[in-house]
Amino acid sequence: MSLRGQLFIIALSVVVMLYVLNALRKKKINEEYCLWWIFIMVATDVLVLNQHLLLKITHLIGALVPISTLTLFALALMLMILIYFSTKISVLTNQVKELIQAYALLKKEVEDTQKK
Amino acid sequence: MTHLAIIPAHNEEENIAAVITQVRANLPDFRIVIVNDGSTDKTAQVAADMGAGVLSHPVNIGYGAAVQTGFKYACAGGYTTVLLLDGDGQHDAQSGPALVRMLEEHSADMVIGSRFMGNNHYNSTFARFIGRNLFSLITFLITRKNFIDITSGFKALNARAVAFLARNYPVDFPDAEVIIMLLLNGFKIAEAPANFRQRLRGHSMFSLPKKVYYPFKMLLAILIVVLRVVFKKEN
Repeated sequence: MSLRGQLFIIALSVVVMLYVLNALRKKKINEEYCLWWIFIMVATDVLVLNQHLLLKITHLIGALVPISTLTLFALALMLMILIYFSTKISVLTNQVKELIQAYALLKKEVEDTQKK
Repeated sequence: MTHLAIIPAHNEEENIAAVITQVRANLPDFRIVIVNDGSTDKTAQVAADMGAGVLSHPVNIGYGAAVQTGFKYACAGGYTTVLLLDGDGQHDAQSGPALVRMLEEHSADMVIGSRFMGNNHYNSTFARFIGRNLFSLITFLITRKNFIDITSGFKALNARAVAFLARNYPVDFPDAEVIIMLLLNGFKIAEAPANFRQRLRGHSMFSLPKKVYYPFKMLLAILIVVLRVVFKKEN
C-alpha cells in the first residue's frame, strides 16, 4: 500500500475519532458507543501501519491486493457494530414498552386515588 | 436537617433486609429509600415489608442510573445529608455516622468511605488492585488530590453535591470519573476509613465483559470530564 494511501486512511480515522470524542464531550453520544468507534478506527490503523500483517492476511483470505483486505476488514467491523446496535435497539425498544406500560398503570392508580 | 440513606439494589432479596436493619440501628435519624433497579426477585417486596421507601425502576438500567434516581429523590425531598450504601451488605452501616460527621468536620461536600484505610483488611483481586491504583494515580495527576479507595460506593454527601450529581451522573461505574468531576467543579472531597464486608450472597454486577470494558470506559470518561471543564472555562 502506498504511503499516501496509509496517510489518508490514518488522517480519516483521526478525524472520525475527534468527531466522536467531541460528540461525547457534548453529551450527544455515550462512552460505550464512542469506545466502539475508537476501537474500529484504531484496529484499522493498526492494520494499515503493519504492512507485513496486512500482506499476510491478504494472502490468507485469497485477496489480490491489500486494499481489498482493508475494505473487507472495514465491512466486517461495520457489520459487527450494526449487529451490536441491533441488539441495543431491541433492548431499548423493550425498555420503552415497559416504561409506557408502567406509566399507564401508574396513571390509572393516581386517577383512582384522586377519585376517592 | 433531614437525612436520607439511598440504597440501590438489583436482585438483593437475600441481603436487603439485613442492610435496612443495620441502617436503622446505626442511623436512626435517617430515612431509607431503596432504589430497586428492575429486580426480578422480591427485593422491592422485602424492602416495602420492612417499611423502607422503595423507588422501583420497571427495567434494569444500571447502578449509576439507580443512584442518580436516589439523588433526584433526595433533591425533590429537600434532604440535607445523603448516605449512599450498597444493597448487597458490603458496606457496614456502623461506619455511616463517622462519614456523615466528617462532612461537617472537614466542611466537605462528599466523604468517601475507604475500605483500605485504618485497620481494615479487605481482600481484593490483583486486577482490581492494579486498576484501583492506576485510577488513583490518574486522579492525583489531574486534581493533585490523593484518594486510596477510588471505587468505593460508600459515600456521604451534602445537598450541594447531591444537587450537582442529580444532574450529572454516569449510568455505569461511577467511580474516579465522579470524583474528578466534582473536584474540577469546585467541590471538596474527604476520605475516611469505613468497614466493608465481603459479599456473602447473590451475584456481583461485574461480569467478565464488564471487567474488560471498565478500564477503557473509565479512561475515556475521565478524558471527557477534563475536556468539558477546559471547554467550559474557555467559553
